[in-house]
Amino acid sequence: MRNFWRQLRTPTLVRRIMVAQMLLLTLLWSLFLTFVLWEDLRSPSILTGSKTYDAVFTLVQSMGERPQERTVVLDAFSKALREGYGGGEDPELSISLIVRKNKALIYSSPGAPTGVINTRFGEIQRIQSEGRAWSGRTLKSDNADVEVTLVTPAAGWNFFFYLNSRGYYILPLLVCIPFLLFPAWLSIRIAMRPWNKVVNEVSLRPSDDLSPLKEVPKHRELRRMVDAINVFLARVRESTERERVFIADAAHELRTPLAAMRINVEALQSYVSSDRQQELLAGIIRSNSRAARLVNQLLLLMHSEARIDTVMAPVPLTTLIQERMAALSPLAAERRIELEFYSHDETWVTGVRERLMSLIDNVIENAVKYSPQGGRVEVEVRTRDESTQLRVSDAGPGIPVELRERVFDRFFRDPRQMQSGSGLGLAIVKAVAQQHNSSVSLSTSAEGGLMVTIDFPTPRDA
Amino acid sequence: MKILLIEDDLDLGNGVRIALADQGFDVIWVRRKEDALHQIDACVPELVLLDLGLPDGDGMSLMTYMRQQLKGIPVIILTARGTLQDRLSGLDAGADDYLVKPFVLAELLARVRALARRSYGFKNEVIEIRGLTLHVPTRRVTVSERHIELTASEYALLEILMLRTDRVLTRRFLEERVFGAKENMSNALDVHMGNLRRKIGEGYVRTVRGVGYVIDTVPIQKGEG
Repeated sequence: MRNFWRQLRTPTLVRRIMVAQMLLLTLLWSLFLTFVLWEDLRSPSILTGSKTYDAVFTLVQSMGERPQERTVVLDAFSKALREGYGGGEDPELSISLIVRKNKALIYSSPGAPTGVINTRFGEIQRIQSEGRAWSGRTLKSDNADVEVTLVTPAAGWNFFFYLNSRGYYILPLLVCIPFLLFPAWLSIRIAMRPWNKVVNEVSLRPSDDLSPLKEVPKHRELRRMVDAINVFLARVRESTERERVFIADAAHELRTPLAAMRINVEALQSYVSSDRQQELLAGIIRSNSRAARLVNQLLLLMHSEARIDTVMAPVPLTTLIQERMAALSPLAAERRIELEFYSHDETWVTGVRERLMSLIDNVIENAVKYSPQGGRVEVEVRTRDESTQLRVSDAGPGIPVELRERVFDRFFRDPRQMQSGSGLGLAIVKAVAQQHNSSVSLSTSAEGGLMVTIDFPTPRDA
Repeated sequence: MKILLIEDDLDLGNGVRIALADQGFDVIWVRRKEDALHQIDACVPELVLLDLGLPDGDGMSLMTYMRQQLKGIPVIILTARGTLQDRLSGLDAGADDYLVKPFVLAELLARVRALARRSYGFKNEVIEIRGLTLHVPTRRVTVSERHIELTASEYALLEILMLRTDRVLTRRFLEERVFGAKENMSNALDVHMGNLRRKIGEGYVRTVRGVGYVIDTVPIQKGEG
């Protein structure tokens, strides 16, 4: 119920157009009606015509000798006039009949403003009498002895009573409304369909997709909006691209001084004999390694986040993992960690080889780094119907459930973790996985450490 | 051994020069392409360390020049450009190795030594690891001075592993190198490796499960289990 109300209260464009249309229609109709009625009121057709006058002349002349009967007939005639006018018996709202013969009043409708005397014959005149305004017209009979005057009220406020008596003018509008509303609603809905298409495309796209909208509407209004969105997207794309290039350039420029620092300290090491001095130099070398790794990771991340501009091709995942594990094995050997790889046949995934390499490197490096000395890192590739799964598990401390989402953020590190790291490894993994339409999930391994699972979609034409 | 170092960065160049000189190499250090061209002709180096980003020209063109002038002289590229494409184009241009900055001195020395060894050929080459020796020209293998008879495949496996110590060689790489790229050779590799191990004794070839094999110069004490 509450939902229904909320829905009803939320403004919609369809309703706005409908309401605007209805309001305009009503306004125009009312203006037209007002004009027609106003014109009619100012010069009522009954006053402008001559048939009513002729009827009264004939009546007066043929009944000249019978004044009593004449008055009765004129009274009945006046009642008929008033009924036809629609204003009731009140002279202030209705028409009145005044008949004079030889300038003497021989009949007037009940309550008629007898003070209304036209100065010119045959013309509708506005006359003030008894403190009110009246419209009156007087005609003379052919032998000029009978004058018939018809008087209608002319005060502005009378218009409303008049309007009220002419209610049948409004009825067509009321009858028309359903016939107008439904087609209007339907046509608006149909007109809005291309709009909804664009909305759907915008809402369905992933947050990091800054490519131009593919849906190019034929309609001019929509095309302008889509063009505007595309221009905006291009600007955002350009600025993120600039930012990425800047970071990559900065990282790149840092490589040479870092290399120089490292090589000089290493050369210095052979000249230094004291243990304390060696310890200090080792500290410099460790920091240098960290900085170097950070620079490399930054570059990798910037490359990983760049849009893939080459065509994705089938990559032999099993062979690639074997190669990377072989390359990483010195790092594992240094920490006396055993690397193990389990897989069946060659498995192919669709992707960009170099980016998959950095994904594999980072997952395995992380596992090796956080494993206890002498531990074991298991890498496994499983093929399922709809996906290829890469699992890397270690025997390290793992990541608490509540931090598992946040560790993918750049530079976020588990606060309990004392191992040094760039804080970019999992961000790189996530970026590469996303580009390959793959998901990354973290869970607890059999040995209580971390298990990283990456699900690659199975290539369609494999 | 004469090494031509072409590196424009003052601190890095000087550091490498001193580090290599300390190791007994004869280093000529130049910082500009022009000087490099001059030195290539003047001193005829036996190994070149080349930085690709030089102030007066791209190092790649220098690479091409050297390939024409100094045939067979090994070149190691030192560069900050580290993507796969960069590596491949460097190696395509004729470089023998590719080191991405920042590198570790030990790594630089290892690559320099490996290339020096290769450029001198294996004429007098005896590789020795913890009592296991391999004399390349005669294909003679001894363990603790005791001669070992190996089949051709076993010898080929051992030679590849001993020429690339401390590097894990993948099963696929070994299969291709030793047996040629034929299908379903995985079992053959296991059989030959088993025989080789039985003959030379345990403790030399380490298995990286599911990945490949390696001979470590310094043995790794495994935490069993």
